[in-house]
Amino acid sequence: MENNPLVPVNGEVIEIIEESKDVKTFRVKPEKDINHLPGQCAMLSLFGVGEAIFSISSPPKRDYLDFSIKKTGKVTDILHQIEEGQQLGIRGPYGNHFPFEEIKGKDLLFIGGGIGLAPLRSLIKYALDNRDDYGNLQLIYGSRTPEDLIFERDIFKNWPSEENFEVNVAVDVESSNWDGYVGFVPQYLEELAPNPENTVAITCGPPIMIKFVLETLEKLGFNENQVVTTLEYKMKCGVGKCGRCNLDEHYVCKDGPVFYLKELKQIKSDFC
Amino acid sequence: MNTVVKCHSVPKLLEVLKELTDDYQIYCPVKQDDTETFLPLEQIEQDELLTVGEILSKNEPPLYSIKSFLFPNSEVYLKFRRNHDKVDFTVHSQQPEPTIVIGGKPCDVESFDMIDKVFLQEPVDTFYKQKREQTIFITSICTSKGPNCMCEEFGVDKSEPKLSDILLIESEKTEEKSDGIYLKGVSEKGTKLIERLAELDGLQKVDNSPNLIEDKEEIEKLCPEAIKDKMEKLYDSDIWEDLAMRCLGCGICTYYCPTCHCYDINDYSRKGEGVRYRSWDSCMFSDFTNMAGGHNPRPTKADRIKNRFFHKLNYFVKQQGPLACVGCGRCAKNCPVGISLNTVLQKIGGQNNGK
Repeated sequence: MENNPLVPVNGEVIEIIEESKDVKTFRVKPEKDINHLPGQCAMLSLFGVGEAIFSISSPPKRDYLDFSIKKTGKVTDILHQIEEGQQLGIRGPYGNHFPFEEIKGKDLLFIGGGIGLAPLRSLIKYALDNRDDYGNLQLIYGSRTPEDLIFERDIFKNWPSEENFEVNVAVDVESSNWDGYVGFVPQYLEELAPNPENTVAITCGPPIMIKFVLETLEKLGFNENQVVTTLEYKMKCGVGKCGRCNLDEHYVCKDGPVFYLKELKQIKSDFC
Repeated sequence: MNTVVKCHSVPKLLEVLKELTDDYQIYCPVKQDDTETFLPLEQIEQDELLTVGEILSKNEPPLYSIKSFLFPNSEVYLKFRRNHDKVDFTVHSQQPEPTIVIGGKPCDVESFDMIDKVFLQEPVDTFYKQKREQTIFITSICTSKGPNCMCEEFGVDKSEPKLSDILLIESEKTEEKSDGIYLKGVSEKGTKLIERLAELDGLQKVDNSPNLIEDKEEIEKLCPEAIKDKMEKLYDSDIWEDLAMRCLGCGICTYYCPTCHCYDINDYSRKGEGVRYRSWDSCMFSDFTNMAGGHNPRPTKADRIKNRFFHKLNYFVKQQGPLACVGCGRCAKNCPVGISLNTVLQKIGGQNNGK
């Protein structure tokens, strides 16, 4: 039997990290190397429950893959109940990737909302692994409440202690245990007004956030070649055949999930 | 030179073909309980054999397209079993058996050109590919146009479809009597089978098959590029809302369509054992694109209808070249509220009016 793209390989969950009340990072060791690039996705399956696609939140060249997953549906509900040592099916990697080669030598501005920080983390960590290739790093990240923030040790400890890495964290609504910025991510972005010169902005978050972030970036003077998004769509096959993740003639699973703003503008989408 | 064999009637042909049932699964269209379906030859009762002939000689396609022989409506592909903490899974791949399918129409067999473009491009869908290689299609040629047919407008040659393995040609009936049934080999595997058939009693090798379509109607073929461009202007049109008010969202258009290929993947399990299967899905259903988090990029029926017709008449052309339609007319015939591809073609003014 030739390799069938729908057939997974075995993977084992070697570690589970609780990120927030409804997000856990599953560190999975696949039986065969998946060899992903930053921004790519993979299908995880729990046999008997189903399959779903997730972005890979770890950088390349590790002997594991991280999936930071929010409990939000049938497969993720059960995923959140499993323990370390559990076996999963995994197939991928799918999709294109962040243009990590093209953006060498640039300052990188990451803008994330909620679980949207997960795919960005693969590139943030990649940039840190290859620190000399990139200029200043800045992260603007927001979630609904302080309890919803993910990757706490990264955003509060690891990343702020890196040289030339500015981390700005916001929450949407006031909270007694929060003395940082309160407000939506696009609003925070506008106030921080990062300089577009020699900078590439990379964003991911809820569709409505992406829409306003794209608008704000343009207002700040970023042109459409300086803005990159990664999108989330429902997918079943992951290889451009099952037909549900299309954005016009493009399939998000194959032609995306990463798009330059320039490309997105030519597509009739929710985002711009 | 194509090899041709002749037989005096359809029932006789089917009787002879029964000799091959040790080597091939043979499927025929048959009318059972007043509806058309495909059944294995050995399951067709004597008194139903006549209905096979009736369906074959109709100038319109049978109710179901033949795509399910390569892309079944439901197909198990993994089996798994829980073994304490471990789950063992295996690929459930029944090496497809050599199969002969009689009775698809030229439009049906040409629809594989579209599905091939999707399933045989990298990464290759091996389940489809294996069946594609193992299946021989005997296409029954139409002598004139059926009530909903538009195959020629879509570029299908109804007398000599490119992708058929064997053509089944019924000579013109005179005085209520047919001169015979001719089978003409087209592809390599089709021709091999014809050579074998020629050795069977009841089938005789002849020099040529009758040329039935003498006066070829001059039909203006649709230009995929022009339709694609006209669709662009329709993106923000009200017609999608108008169609959505009529559409029931039943999905019948997609299930009967020979070029639709969307599928779903699901698991079924019970007591630690189970299967993963894929099954036909429909872009007309509201949960088709609905995500677990609640976001739905195509939340309204109008969004979904627009996407379906754009896929067929614009997106597919951009990606693959041809229109994703072969003019079989099944959507026109089966839609409960009378929406078909032609409905949209008329709206964009790209089709003979009044059809």
